[in-house]
Amino acid sequence: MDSMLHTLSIAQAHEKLQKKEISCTELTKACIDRAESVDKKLNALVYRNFERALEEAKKIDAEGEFTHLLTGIPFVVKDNFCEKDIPSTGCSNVLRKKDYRPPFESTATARVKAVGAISLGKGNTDEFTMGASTETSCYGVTRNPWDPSRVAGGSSGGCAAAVGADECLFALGSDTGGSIRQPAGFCGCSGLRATYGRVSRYGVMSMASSLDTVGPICKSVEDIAIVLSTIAGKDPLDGTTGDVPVPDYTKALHGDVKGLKIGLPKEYFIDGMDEQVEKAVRDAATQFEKMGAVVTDISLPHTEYAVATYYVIVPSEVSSNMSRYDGIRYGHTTDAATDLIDYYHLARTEGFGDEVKRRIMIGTYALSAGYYDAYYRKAQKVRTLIRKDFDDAFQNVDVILTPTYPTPAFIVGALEGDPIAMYLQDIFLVSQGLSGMPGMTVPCGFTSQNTLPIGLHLTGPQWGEDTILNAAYAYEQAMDWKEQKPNL
Amino acid sequence: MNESILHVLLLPTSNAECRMIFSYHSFCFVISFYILHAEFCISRMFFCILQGIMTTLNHDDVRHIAKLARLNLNDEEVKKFSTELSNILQYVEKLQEVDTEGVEPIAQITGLTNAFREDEVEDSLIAPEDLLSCSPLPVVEHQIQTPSAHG
Repeated sequence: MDSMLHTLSIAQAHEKLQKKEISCTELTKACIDRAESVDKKLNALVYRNFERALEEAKKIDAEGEFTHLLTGIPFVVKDNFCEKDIPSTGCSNVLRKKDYRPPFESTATARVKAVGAISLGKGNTDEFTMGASTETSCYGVTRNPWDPSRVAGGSSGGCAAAVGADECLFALGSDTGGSIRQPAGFCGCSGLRATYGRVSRYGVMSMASSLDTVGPICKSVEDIAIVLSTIAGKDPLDGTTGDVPVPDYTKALHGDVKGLKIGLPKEYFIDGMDEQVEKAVRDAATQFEKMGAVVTDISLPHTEYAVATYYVIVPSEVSSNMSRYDGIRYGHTTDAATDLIDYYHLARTEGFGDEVKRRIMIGTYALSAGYYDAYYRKAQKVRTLIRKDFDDAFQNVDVILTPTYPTPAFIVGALEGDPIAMYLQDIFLVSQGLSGMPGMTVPCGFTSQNTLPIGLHLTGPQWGEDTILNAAYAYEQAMDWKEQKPNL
Repeated sequence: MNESILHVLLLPTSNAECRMIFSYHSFCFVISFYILHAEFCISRMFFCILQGIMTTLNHDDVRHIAKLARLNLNDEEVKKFSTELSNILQYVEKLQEVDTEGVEPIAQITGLTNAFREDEVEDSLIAPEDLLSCSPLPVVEHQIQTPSAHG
């Protein structure tokens, strides 16, 4: 029994901790042992904070109070989150070479630590979150717990693989255009991208500031609600956080979807889609109907322009955000420079990987004199239309149901040298990023041949996390997908 | 006529076509092709000039962009990025199909305008010394000493 503690959900572990059936030290040790035994295969963790985690666990056991659901719960946080005095590198050589240790703590990690959650270490990510496979990480690719020849997805691939392989009970990730939801789906987890401004990004390395969000990756929908309730809310340190009250999201999980109006957008069922993925999602829609929901076909007409819009806006904001990595205040340095301009060139050239350079250059070009209107401004106008599609749809439906991705996890290296094929990985996920809507993925089946998880995606209106959480919860309770575990 | 202007005028619509334009020997063929398709050519030309876009970046364009972005690229990288960046620009060109007449651009997606706080003095969250200690460069009198701006 004890050796399986790492497989517990947050809610299950909390109950055992509170009843003193298990200690926080035992739980933490179980996760550490699991990570020690499987992470060589997966490369989910890029920094291990195990000693400090065990010290924290002892302290919590000594106090013996498990007042909050997250007290004593071990978690992993994506490497683009700053943790005070702990290496935080965004998986980029720009910060890794000097092993950047921030003198401050991100709000999201501070909030879960304040109630006693225990940080086990940092999860692998594509360099500064730019990618859909963790293949651009300076620490190498994270492999999928369901099939180590395949990617775990990205950019929060380390977090998703760690949760999927039971190396921790939950993880904190970030999502700009799919970076929580795609890897969570690839690894058979639940993952939520909150409404833009629902969770503070203070202390999280910026990629595209008008889209970046923070959210949880968990083993169950209930756990997502627990973590979101803890990290959400206004933060004076992030001016984009909305002054909207934070409900206790666990109270929204009543599991009743009678009369819930669900829309299936025709633009998300496209040629080239994996047949099993399409079938799993349509079966899920049928399941919702059985439970009393009303499913209708809808249209989001500007869907086909979402990836193009995203790949103008994001690189533009990247080129601006990456300018802070100049080797002056932190990060990679060099002795070879002849003057200051040369120093900037060398520090950045040696530090950044190809995908970051690619986006910096596209953004630099798109924002340069004479091209701004044709690219950035045009994309911002199309972004308005994409958001309007969702606003119009939510006049008639409560939840939009789609696949999380057109095809399950791909083989490591399969998309190497084809940036556009990689960008199209997030074809079903960038629209929610652009429109600021919350979205989440839950497992909805497995492929028959190679048993790869399939993800079901639910989108709600802005600030409507409670609605999608309840719908996902109702579906999850009716099925037993989350009980299946990878054979590692 | 430099290559960039040539691209705007001739408007290559595919990679293969671009390569043809790069090749001097094919130049006359391409010109005659566009003369034959004059109507198409002229409408595309005005479209692109109006929109102010180029859909291919030649080696000099890439070198110039890299310089603006403070990146060094070797010749091989220039060649590789020239192809990759051109492919991306050609992909995002599809945005020009969308009618955005009268559509306002969006920047803040949840409709926030300004985020004010009370004008009160608060203690700094982080000691300046701790921030300075993150620098890889020497710190002199609470300032980071950088290489000279004048060489």
